[in-house]
Amino acid sequence: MTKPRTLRAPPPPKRFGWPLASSSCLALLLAVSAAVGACADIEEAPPPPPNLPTVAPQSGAPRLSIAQYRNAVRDLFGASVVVPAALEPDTSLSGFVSIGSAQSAISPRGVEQYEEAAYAIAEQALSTQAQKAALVPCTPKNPTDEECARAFVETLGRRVWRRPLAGDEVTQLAAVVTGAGKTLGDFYQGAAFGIAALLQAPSFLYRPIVGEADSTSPSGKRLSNYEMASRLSFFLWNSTPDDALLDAAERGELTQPQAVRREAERLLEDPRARLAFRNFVTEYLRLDLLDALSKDPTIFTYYSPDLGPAAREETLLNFETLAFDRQTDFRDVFISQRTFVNSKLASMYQVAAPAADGFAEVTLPADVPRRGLLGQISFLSLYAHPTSSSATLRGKVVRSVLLCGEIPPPPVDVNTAIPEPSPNAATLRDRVKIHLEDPFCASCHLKMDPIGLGLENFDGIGRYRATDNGATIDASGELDGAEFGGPVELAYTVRNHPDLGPCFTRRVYQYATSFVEKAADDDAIAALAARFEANGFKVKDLLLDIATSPGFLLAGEAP
Amino acid sequence: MAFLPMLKKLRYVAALGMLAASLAPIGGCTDEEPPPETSTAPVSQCGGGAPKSFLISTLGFTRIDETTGKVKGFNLDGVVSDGTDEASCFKKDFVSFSGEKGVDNQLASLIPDVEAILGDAVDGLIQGAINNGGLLIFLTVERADNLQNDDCVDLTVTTVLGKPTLGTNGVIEAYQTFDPDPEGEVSHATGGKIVNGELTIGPFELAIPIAIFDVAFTIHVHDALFKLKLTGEDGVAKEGLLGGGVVPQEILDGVAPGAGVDQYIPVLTLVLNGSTDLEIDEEGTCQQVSAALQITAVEAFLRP
Repeated sequence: MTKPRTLRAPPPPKRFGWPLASSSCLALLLAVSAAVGACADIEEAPPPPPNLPTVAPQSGAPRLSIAQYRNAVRDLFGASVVVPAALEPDTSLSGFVSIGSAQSAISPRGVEQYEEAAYAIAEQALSTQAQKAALVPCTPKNPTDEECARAFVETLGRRVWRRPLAGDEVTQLAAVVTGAGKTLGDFYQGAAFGIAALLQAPSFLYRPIVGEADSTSPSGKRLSNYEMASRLSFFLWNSTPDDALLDAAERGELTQPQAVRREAERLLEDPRARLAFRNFVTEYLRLDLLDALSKDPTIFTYYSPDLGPAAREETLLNFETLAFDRQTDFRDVFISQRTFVNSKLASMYQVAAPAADGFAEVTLPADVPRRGLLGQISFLSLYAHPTSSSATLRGKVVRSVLLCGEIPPPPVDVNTAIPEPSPNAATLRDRVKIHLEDPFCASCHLKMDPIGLGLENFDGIGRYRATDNGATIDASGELDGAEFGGPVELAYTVRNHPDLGPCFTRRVYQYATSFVEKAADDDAIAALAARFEANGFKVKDLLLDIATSPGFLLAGEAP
Repeated sequence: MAFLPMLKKLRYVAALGMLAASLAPIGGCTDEEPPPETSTAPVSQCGGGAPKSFLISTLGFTRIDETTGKVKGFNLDGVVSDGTDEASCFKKDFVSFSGEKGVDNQLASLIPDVEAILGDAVDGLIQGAINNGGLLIFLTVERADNLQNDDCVDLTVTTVLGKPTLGTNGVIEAYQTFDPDPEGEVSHATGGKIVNGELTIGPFELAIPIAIFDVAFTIHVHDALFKLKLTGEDGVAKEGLLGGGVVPQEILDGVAPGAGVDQYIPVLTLVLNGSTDLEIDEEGTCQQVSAALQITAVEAFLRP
């Protein structure tokens, strides 16, 4: 295929072009209006799932994150298609890219990047006979075969836009294909322009949630079938729906909680569900930051650029295995003595590496007080300073991310420096004492530092140490009234904390819905958390419950 | 041959030779009559503590202190020679830094001369071989119930395969895992003791395969003595000392196949044969040269 952009085929209609899409508000309107137009067949509203309170649902149009964009292209056009690296950056809000994507706009540069990506993908998508046969459901008679162009646009457009195309949309896109085909003298080169137009459209780049009438909903709306197909697949696969899911939507099944659960169960058995869950865990713990992990190499001689990514993989394998293979209590990820290591991590954990290459499961040595997530290098190195450990950073993550506790930001003019080590204050516990004794500091630091001090046996990159500046480390403390003697007991204390399960439920709920929950959601989240506990804290059950919960099924007014 | 390439070649030949020489001395053990201390299938009455393994992470020549004349090493032959006794081929023994007399370490006296010619490259070449995985010596302390004090422990020395990871300080990181070397000779010593966290064991026959550049051969260190500090902070290299006697001819035969080495053999022969001080034969010629190497070792694993 020749380079489409240099050949200047007839431009697609403005409805699909970026002059409109460059305004996020306008794009949203377009996406919303398109979605509404395609979902006219309203069915009888189902009752909400039993035992789950109704909620005040939200509407909007989350933009595809970079990962979602890439995954969608992979699932639409095959893994061999390379997506250009430069795309509009993700924005994280409330800890999740999916929430940030629901509220952020696209920059002018981002518009250009989506355009460049669309053409690059289109050029690859039809580069082989096999690809052409897979994407074009007919044999074109000539470069301007309108019938074939319409069939191509209808078939592929449904998958790319995750809904059937309206008649005028098919007409306009088919005109792009035949117009470019005429100019270039080749149907498939024209089809590539059609792909580029599909990929630049708001209907691909956004996931509009408008809803349809539902008399049983507080807002009077529920998600339409196709909206639910998208929401379900982007939650459980972090990617676009497959044909089976779109077929279920076409049959009108996805307004029924039972059918949604059935589809959710099917999706969870697909390998893409594991990747999606890994994506959730990555955002939940900010493990993406491990790519840029930076430590002072003169202090941490075991630091290397590959440490961060390896540590992230370890943590992801732990979560994935627990959720999808063992399917046991998710809280065990905090106390497990078994983990996954490569050669580098094995040496840092002081265990023999089972395999020369890649990761393998090992049991951590009994004489080192390292257990579970809080003992993993990902957590310990990420939540530390470049030159030292940090009781405050580690404690803050446990308190706010894992237990959903509130910690106000420090006052603007406060001096956060802690004293340098000295003979009288060798350990971090001694040095942060000022934070814990000064009432001005203590109100917040007492919520964080005592937790983090329980992990002081691990340095700024997570290596075990018995002493700090020559002094024996005291890693004892208490968390909300539960005393612990060191990191192992802290791990059990966190694991058994009554807020851990409900907080995890809240995080998954936020991630699933792509919106910051409202106060009205609290009862629903509490009900989900109760079911999570009743089901033995099994992650897959939680995912299924959320997928069929009111907050996931119902739509409402835009915030 | 141009001067610089020649010097480079001389450096590694000398390094090999010096290293080989340093990994041997004394004893009366021959192939026909293995010493009773050495056994490939030892029977020990020691306890059954879990094995603890180490990888030799640095290996360096011992040097005579210019001020005191003292040097690290072992009294390998059990006598104190003042330079007048024939049994030591008239080589004067040294005094250790702790005051022990009779230290046999003739190789140490050669080091300044070698370094005067070669600069300080010799230790670097050896370290390079370790870091590149060409000289990975694995020590396994066995049957030790107590790493602080134990009067009956064994030691296995073998080579392993792998590519060590270096820390940002250029030192091999502790607790790495290596693969067994199926072709490596295994040396075993029994009856060692740990006193105040320091293992002392030997004499035993020690085989060390050497691979530097295009030369690969096995040096047999006779009546080797070995000590290593076992305790201390986790992951921090432990210091130790290795001594024994090597037969010069074994070294010369080992390095000879190296490309372009043959022209340096006469010099090396002269240096090594002129330093022998152990295992005198009926003709009054000492058969081995005594040496001692200072080592550091880090905890390591053998892949299960």
